Amino acid sequence: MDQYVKGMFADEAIQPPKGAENALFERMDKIRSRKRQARIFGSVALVCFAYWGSATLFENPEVAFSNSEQVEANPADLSALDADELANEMPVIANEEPMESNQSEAIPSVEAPSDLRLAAPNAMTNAQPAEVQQGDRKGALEPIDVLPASPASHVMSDKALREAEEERWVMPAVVKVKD
Amino acid sequence: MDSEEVELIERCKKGHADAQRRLYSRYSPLLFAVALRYSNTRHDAEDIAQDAWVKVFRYLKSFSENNSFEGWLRRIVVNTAITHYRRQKKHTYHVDIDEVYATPKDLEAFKETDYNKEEIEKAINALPKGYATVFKMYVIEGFKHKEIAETLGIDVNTSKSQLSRARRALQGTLINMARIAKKSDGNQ
Repeated sequence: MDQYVKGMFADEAIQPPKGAENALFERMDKIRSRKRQARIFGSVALVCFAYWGSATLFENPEVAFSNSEQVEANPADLSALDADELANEMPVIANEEPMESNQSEAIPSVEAPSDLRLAAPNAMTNAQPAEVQQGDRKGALEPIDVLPASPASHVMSDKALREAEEERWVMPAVVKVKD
Repeated sequence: MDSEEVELIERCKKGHADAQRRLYSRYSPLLFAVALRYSNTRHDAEDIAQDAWVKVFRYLKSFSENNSFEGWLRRIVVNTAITHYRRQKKHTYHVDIDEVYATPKDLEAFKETDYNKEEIEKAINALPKGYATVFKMYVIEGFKHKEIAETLGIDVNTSKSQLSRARRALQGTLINMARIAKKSDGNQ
């Protein structure tokens, strides 16, 4: 019986109504355009998110520093240091170029040795380390292995800020001197 | 599948609209016939067929040329039809049957060749919906019991027992139809 019934319906074909084809392909076109729109919207959203993320990072770099392992910003240590001495001995690190120009006027210049490197966090990679001319005081830097740069830069920048009368962000950092 | 069909499917996979229209014109009569078999009205069949075609073009990339394209299409239409009716909740698949009118003697005398396509179709549609669905899926579309069970969400044994009952019910219905036809001929 199964074979008999199956044989009856084997080559069955019923023509669909005339408008069915157009209706189907109109629907397909709608689906395609909706997909395209979703893809464009997704791309725009991604770009906006990336832009917002980068803008947030640069506007608030402390967030980046708080996650950095290279930063040693212990407040107890900072308070114990003689700010004036450090100010004279340490190079200044600032995150903006105008800051450097202000500092160069306010601070006695110190020329950093050629092998001196600043271990700055990733967010600071674009910031140029302050180039200062050391002159006579070059010898004072040589025996120091690790110098906490942040207190000096903090104090120096405060001075600079007071003189410049404008707000600047100052990044704590560690300076390593290689032999 | 012939090479022309393979090429057509490949072009459809790449999203060529002209190939999709050619595929539609080639298979739409078959697809619509299957849709019509699983729907109550022609309007429902049109909806089912359209939904099925959208699925066909959407999932064509997953189709392998080693398989039968016609079989793949049939499965999509049947699944779409069942989903359609599940949404509408017009039928269930666990119906006890009381409609076996034929006696064992009648069944012995039963010859399916005595009936034409329209009569058999009518008899199938007269079956309880669950039986008719299992019967059509197994006998006409060529599904296996496991596939029927998965599609309908029932046990494999339930599928087997429903098919068995559907066969008996179909024979009974056909015999009863023949009896009624004889009576009406005698009265005339």
